Amino acid sequence: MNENLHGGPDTVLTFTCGPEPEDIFSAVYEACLFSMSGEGAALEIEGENFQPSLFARYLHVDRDEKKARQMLEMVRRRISEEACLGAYRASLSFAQDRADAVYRFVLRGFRVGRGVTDRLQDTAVCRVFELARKAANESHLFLGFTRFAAWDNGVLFARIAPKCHVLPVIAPHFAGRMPGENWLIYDENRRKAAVHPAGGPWYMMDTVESGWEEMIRGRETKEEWDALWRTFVQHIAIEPRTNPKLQRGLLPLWYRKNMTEFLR
Amino acid sequence: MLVEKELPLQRKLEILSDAAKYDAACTSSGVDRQGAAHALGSAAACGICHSFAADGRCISLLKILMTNECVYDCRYCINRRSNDVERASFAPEEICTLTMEFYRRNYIEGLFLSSGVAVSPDATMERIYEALSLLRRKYGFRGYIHVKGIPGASPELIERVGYLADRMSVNLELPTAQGLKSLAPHKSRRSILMPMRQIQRGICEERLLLTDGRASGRIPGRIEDGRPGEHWNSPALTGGFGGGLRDSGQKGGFGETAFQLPSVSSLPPLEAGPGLRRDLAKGERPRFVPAGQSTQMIIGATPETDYQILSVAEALYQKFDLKRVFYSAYVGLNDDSLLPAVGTRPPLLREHRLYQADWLLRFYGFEAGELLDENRPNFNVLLDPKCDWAVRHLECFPVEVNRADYGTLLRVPGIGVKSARRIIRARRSACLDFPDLKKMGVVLKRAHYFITCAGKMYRPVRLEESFIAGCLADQNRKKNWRVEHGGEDYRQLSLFDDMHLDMVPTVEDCRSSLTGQL
Repeated sequence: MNENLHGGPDTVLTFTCGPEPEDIFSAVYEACLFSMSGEGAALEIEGENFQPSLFARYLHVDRDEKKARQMLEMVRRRISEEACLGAYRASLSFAQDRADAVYRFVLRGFRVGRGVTDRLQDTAVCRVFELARKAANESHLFLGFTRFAAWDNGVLFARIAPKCHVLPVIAPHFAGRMPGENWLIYDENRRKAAVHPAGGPWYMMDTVESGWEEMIRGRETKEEWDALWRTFVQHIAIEPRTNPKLQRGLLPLWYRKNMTEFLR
Repeated sequence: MLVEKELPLQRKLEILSDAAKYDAACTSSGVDRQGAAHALGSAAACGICHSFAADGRCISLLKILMTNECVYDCRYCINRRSNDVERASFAPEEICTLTMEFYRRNYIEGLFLSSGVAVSPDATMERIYEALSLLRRKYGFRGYIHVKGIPGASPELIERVGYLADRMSVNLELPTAQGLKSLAPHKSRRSILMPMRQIQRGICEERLLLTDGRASGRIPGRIEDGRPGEHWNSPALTGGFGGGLRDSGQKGGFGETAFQLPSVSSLPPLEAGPGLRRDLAKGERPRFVPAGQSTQMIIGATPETDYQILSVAEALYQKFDLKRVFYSAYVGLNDDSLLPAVGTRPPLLREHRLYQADWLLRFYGFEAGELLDENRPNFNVLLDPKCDWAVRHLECFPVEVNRADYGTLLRVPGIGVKSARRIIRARRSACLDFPDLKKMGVVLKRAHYFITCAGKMYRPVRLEESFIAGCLADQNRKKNWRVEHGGEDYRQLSLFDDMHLDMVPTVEDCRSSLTGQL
């Protein structure tokens, strides 16, 4: 790390990075190296409502998968498996401060060691677990709420619009469940897709500039199973117990955007 | 009984899901099964909810009846013989295609197959077996299957079906034998408990096989999950349940039915245990009802008290080793002199209180006798059972959060399983104060009457039953009204609210991780 990065007492060096786990852990890596000098640092995510402050100096960190993996491995070995999982999940959440939260947690962990995950009263620890829970809960819900439709060529296609980055969590689940199917799950918010060819491993694909939207729009059709499923959902409810508010509490409206039974 | 032979699939699905919806269970939890190459499906122990219906109940499984034809005339049931409703039956192939196609699209986690009793219990159970066997063997389905045990079906059939299903349930229907006698003249307590006992034994043997490879011999004093073993030999429940009982009800005699069934004897003979266990998939030994069994009681159709109901539930958990007991608020469907009038509002608050108490039995170390007794046989409408217990036992409080053991923390209103565990972890490294508890998910609004942090109370409070009860009841009043009246302003069954279990219904059987603590 360059010497001239260390500035005066009233400016904090802020590392900025992209929104994905790989970006975040690359930046955490740099920030940790930097903070070994004894100075504090902060992390911010670019894009998403990023508002530069006058009193900070910014340094962009490029994604470096090797560094990111090294960072995670360090957390696993020097703190614990649980800390590693917590930090990774927190980086999948959509909170603006997730990179900073992960950084603070990791620093605290390096100082305290294994026991850090017990310190739930500590804000640095508490925040990371809060974010991790958010990401894990949303991922769990998408295991159920993701809806596939079969294209003419037999490929199963699902469109989702999650708030957290759930694809890396749900794709392995579906790969285990439907190993013999060609399927793909498209995250329209992040413009990424998890692709699974029958019998093979799944992989992540960037779909920003590939005419992807047009391609799938052209293929989406109605199936007889849609109608049967809608029939079932409608008839399984007990009328005297109708309770839309309870239903909304358990299945908020934003989830229903791509769910077959709620589409018209 | 008019039977139209060829209804379109859509119409059949309407009729048979309508007929199945009064069963409360829709959980897909309790078993972990990885997917396999060239097969469809897996199962997750925590269970996965796939949707929520307009009544706010989770949709996890394709819940259908095989047929809604029934030779029985249970008074509370929409499908009873004497009701003039449209009847339909699924062919096994139809059930398989529906399940597979719904499953591929991730609509469902699996199948919940139940059935009216067509011809006889044996004939019905055999038909169910045929469908499940097709689904597992021909279609290679590895997802979750919950199946009803038909009271009165032969033990051989129950065993065969048990090796194909993940969970089985036999509905107790009514909490007392008298209730059953008056409302379900064709069923007896005995014909319901028999298969339940058989399934329990099967599961127990299975566990022994898994733990030490020796299947035979006596049941050890303690089963893996730490339940006391003497229950297994409880004379009150085992007495009189000898083998060989076959209660096939009204075999034949009800005219033509929609399907022709082979008799039991035409099936290949039942192999001894291990042989049967081998035939599901190569290299993988099928397990008998791996996700355990459950049952259901109807609430509010007969005059039993909450205390009676809860005691029955407790006995079922302890003596029959059930995973879940479900409570189903009676929905007035049939015009019958012995039942509440049609259109009577289902007793939702009562059902809610029973579920809360059920949680207290299973996860919080309470006993039915602590929550209710002969003199107070019904739940307080204003307070949830845990608060109610706490205000009646102020001698146990306040509890010092930094020292109390796990079991004591669990009994504090506003502290749940998760927050209690978090407290135990966090206090290793620090002395906890009220703001810390808040961060950990403790509901201070309720808890603060009952706890101290380093000897201090949150704010000065009179430790006086009527005062605290009044404060807590005020917090609950609005919500209770909503639970009872449903509709727009109502968040019922969020046990997760009242008890701060912050996971969706999947928490239900993540018990494996909890039992160690209780």
